[in-house]
Amino acid sequence: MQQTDEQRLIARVLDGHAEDYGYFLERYGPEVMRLVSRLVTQQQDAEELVQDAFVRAYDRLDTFGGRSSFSTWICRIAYTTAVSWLRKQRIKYLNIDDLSPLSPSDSSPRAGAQQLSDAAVDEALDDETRIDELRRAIGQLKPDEQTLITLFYYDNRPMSDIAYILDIETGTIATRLHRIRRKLYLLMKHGNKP
Amino acid sequence: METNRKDFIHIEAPEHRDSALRQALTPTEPLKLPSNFAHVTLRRIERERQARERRERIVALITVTVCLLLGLAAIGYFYGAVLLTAFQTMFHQSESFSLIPAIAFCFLFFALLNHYLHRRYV
Repeated sequence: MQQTDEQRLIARVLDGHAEDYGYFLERYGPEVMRLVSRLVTQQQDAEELVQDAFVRAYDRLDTFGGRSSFSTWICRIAYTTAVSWLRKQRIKYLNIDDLSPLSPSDSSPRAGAQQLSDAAVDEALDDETRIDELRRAIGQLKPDEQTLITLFYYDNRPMSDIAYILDIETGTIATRLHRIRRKLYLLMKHGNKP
Repeated sequence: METNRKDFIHIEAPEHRDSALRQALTPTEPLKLPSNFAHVTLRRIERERQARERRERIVALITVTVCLLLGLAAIGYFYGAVLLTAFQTMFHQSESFSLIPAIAFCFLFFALLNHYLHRRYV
């Protein structure tokens, strides 16, 4: 279905035909679930959050101006819903500066993160024998970092969509990705035990 | 200057790079939504819509009642004595004044009947 058709369908939903919203649930439910399940691993919690996101989107449907696609819009709502849920769970995440230095001679954590060579990071993230280590490292990233790499590497979303979903400037995405890659390398290097 | 995906890939991570990271991001056991997800969500939306409407009706009813009572109280406070005197004069001077309670009762009856029929058939 084209974006214009979806706009027409949204107009019908706003006109009182709530059953037409079913199309959006069927069409975008799996995509939103994929995004949420990256952050919330329990099936029941993830399901509930996806439902919350769609209910919130329905309540605010009149604010959907069509400037982005419905998919991007609902993903942004789902992301904020999941992040506020995680905040309530008070889960602690690691900062790159919290990771211990690479070299035993250097006692400053920040220095450890800074002295990484790009070649070593590239090599580690390209090494297909270390996928399990990488998976564990990804699990230790913050929600926004996990979402960013998922949207970029797995969903292959355009930068503008990623910026909109995460509510960040497009220009900062490259820097953030660069930082996340280094953090992943550090987490792998230390056996995911900072 | 706006950064786009292509620029970043070209500079930082060409498409063939980070293949392990791409594979690691592929879920091993992807969580799936139940088949009745759309149905259940639509039912929840409907339930929440009804609850919201009920709340709005109650708030409107309370607002109207409070405004009405305040209005009547203000009329009574400012013009109570004058109105009472006027009614007493009317009652003594006009014979048809005795019909007013009957007419008021009829109005009340039709208002209630209208409300009942509206709820039953509309």
